[in-house]
Amino acid sequence: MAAILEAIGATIIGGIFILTMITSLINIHAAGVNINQQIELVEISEDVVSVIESYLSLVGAGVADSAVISTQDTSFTYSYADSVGGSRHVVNMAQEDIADSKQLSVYVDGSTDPVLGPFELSDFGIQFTYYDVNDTANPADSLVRYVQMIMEFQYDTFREDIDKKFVLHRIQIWKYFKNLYL
Amino acid sequence: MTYGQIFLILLAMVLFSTIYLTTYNSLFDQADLAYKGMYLLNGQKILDKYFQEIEANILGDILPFDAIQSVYNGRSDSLTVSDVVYHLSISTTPCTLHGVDTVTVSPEFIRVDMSMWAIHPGGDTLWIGMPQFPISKVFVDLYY
Repeated sequence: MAAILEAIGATIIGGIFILTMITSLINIHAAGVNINQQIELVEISEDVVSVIESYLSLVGAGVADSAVISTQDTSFTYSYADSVGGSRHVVNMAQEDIADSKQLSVYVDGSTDPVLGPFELSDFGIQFTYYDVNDTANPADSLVRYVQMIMEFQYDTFREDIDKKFVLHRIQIWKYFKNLYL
Repeated sequence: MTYGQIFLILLAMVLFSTIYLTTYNSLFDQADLAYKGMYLLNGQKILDKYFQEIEANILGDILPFDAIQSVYNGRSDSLTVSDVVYHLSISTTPCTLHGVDTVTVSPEFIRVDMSMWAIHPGGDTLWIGMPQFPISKVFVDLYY
């Protein structure tokens, strides 16, 4: 009888032990995957921001007027030309709501296909704030000289259970439109 | 079950716990490194903002070149990005084309040195450029 009780006891203790090991392994795997996704998200979003900055560098290049066309909290439209007096292009950076999620896209010359994006954003999305030469926020379009752009990129997480937390990366950049200073 | 067997079970638990704790610790170290990288990148963008500001002021002739010294030398600022406060210090020095210090009343080149620190949510102090090893850029007077 004692031997049977010992065997049952050992099975219970061993079972608890194995369950603990499996749970820990799953948690370690989840944490590892999330860290990996965070690093990938940082890499990808930094690359995206580099390209966005190169587009923002074009604001007002080669155009004498109407360089800044529209300034909104989640959308920015401006123009540039291939050369001084050359053919003019209109760029629109916008946050769009696609399938209940916010996405960042860049369009050129009214095309329906974005030249950049769409990139998935968090619920925060994008926020543009425009400044004039005296650092006054939200001036008239013709007085805008630089922009502060905050965007938060999002990646799905490993866990799909009740403790679901997205992997996020918020980036804040400032871009001075040097063509408008010349 | 003998005391010896109970002891062996406890010993096994302690040993396995050590392995798990070490693994978790390594993972959290990796996560900490990833987050620190993000804060450093944010800090670099703030520094870039101030470099751009100076460049725009020179390009637009908004500030006389000599005034860069009086406006920016010794300037300190604090900016909050993603709930982390970044503290910036700027110093300027007249210099040569290659960034070597000179003593000139009306310099053609000015070197702008920036250093920044922030307290990481984990409690560590992060430096992005240090006072002894700042992030520097040499600006030229376009209208010299």
